[in-house]
Amino acid sequence: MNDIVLKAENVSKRYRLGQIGLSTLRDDIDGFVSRLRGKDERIGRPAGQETFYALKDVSFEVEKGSAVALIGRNGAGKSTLLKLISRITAPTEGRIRYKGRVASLLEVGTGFNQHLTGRENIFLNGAIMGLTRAEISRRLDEIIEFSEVERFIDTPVKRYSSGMYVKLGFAVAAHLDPDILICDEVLAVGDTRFQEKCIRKMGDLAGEHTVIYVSHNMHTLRQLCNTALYLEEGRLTYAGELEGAIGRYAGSSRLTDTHRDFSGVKHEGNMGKLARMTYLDLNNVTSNEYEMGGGIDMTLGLEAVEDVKNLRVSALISRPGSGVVASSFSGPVYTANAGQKDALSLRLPLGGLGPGEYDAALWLCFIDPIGRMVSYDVVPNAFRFSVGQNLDMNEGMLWNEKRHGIFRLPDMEEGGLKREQES
Amino acid sequence: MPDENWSVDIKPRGRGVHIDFKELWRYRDLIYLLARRTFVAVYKQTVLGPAWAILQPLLTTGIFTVVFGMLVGIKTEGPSAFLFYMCGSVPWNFFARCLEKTSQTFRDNERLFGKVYFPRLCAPIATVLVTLINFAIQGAFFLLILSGGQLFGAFTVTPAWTLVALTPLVVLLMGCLGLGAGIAVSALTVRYKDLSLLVSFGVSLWMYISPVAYPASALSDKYPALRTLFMLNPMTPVIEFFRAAFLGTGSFDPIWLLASAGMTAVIFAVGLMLFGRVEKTFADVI
Repeated sequence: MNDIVLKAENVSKRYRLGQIGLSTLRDDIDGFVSRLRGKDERIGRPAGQETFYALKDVSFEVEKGSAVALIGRNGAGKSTLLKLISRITAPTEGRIRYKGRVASLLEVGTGFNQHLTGRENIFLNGAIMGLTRAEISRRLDEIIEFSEVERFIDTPVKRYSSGMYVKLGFAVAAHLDPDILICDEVLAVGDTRFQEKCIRKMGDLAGEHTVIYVSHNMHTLRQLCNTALYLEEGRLTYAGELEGAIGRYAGSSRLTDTHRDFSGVKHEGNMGKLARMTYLDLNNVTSNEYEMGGGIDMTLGLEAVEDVKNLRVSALISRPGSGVVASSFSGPVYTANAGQKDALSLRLPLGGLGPGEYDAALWLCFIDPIGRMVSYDVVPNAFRFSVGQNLDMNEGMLWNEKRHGIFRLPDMEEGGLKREQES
Repeated sequence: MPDENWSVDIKPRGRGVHIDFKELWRYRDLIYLLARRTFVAVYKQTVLGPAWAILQPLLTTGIFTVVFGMLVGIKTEGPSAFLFYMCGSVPWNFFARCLEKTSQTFRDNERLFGKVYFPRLCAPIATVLVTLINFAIQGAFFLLILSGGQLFGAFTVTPAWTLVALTPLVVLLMGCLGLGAGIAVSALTVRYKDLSLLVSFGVSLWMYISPVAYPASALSDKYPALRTLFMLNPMTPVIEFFRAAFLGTGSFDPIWLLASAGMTAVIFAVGLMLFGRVEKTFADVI
């Protein structure tokens, strides 16, 4: 037993940061973090001298036949580690050794060619994964059966739906018979029934093979994995029982303080002279991660220094490093006499804001009849929050910023379908 | 534990470069399938399909015959100017395509290389194989014209049969030269993007210093001082070889072909070295 099939020793991966022409160190850091999140950890061309460790001194061992969950928040270094193990890029320091063959499902259908048929693509994809033609021929029937696309197997894959594409890709990968299988959240695609089938298949594989699985879905991880590695800012901070890592993961997003006191906010110019915001309570929350399409309930403490009338609260949502992306305004809700203190309950609807990290700034303002905004008070970094995936909202899709943008607009309205030609 | 036998050992990119030829051989099916993919994809996308392979040298040769043969009036060797130009442009075309196509290796496979590991050399080797298929079609077409003309008495040529037997080796030489230069350029373009713009320009310049549109003797007779320099171009003896082998003309000298082979070996080694250095960290740069 206790046969070690994969061993990483003091592995580090350093990236050099490119010069983007940012002004301050804070901007640099913010810009960098957003690039990390937004661009899948691929940093631009190495031009500058600044470096950053995506992974630092990571060591671990994986036993044969174990199913290991790789857990961490966005940007913790999961993808980098997987890229190193699957030899897409080389580590800066340290070494990784393993026995047998590694197959990675970093993206299914890798190398599929649109013009080739499903069958031809099985061979190509299999060969890319390191099988010989003879080995693929032996598994062909099984792969086709598993993929559920028998009827279209001799059709070019450009005519496939994205679901069929994924199914075929997974079928090839699952039958590669690798010694170590790496999966990165692929199961979030395809219909529910096929997802369950994949999870069952992976459970079967886990018996004799070794599976490393990356997901943010703790439910799936509980089904599949027995041990876990927990990464935090490029460092391996936990290796052991799965529940321990899940606990850390949940803990990392828990808010320690849902109350923000604004009395320390510096007021510039006339800000805060007539009315000011004094505190903020985030209500009904255990974490700073909100589901896409959800809302943030809060209570805002207000204080009138002079008499004020018809003030509005506005929230400016920005991405760290890339400026304001959206704003929300309340109605003219606040009217008060000098010396009054109030608590205003508000709900900030997140609408179509896509997954990612955001900063919210709060403004207390008055909009005059000709559209000029007069600011009464500002709290620049009132709170930070993150938006998570919402499969129900997005028809089962994982929202992908690179593909879909950072915002989902309201759905299009159909104006009726008129048939112009009968078949 | 000393008894552990790891099958893969991933280490940082070191100073030295080593290409794992054993691994490359294990991936030979992938090379075949990649070549097939490219061939089928091109074939399915074009209206004329493989007919392009024949049209392309016909057009080139036709233009050469008109421009250089008739307008410029370059004196060619052998029984017909058309055969002379075709015998030069078919092998040149093979070499030029090898160089141009393999120099795009990283650009064409950006997505694939970023997603999955396989020996990166598989891609340019497959490219050379596809180019080889085209060359075979064009070569067969050339031989068809040659033997057809002979048979119907349009012209008489006397091939040097011993040289003809050596053709596969010279084709291998051209392939290695194109591949070596191509992967060297492909590795450099990862750093210096604008280099890729210079490739096709450079290749056409290279053609003019090679005896494709004129016989080697024309240049060395006129400027004997430049002869050595001219013959040091590794493609010069290769094209002279083809003319000597199939048309029985020209001033082919085996010594220069050996020199060409030596230079090819050096270029190939430099190409492998540059390629090997880039392939490991390519995914971080793109």
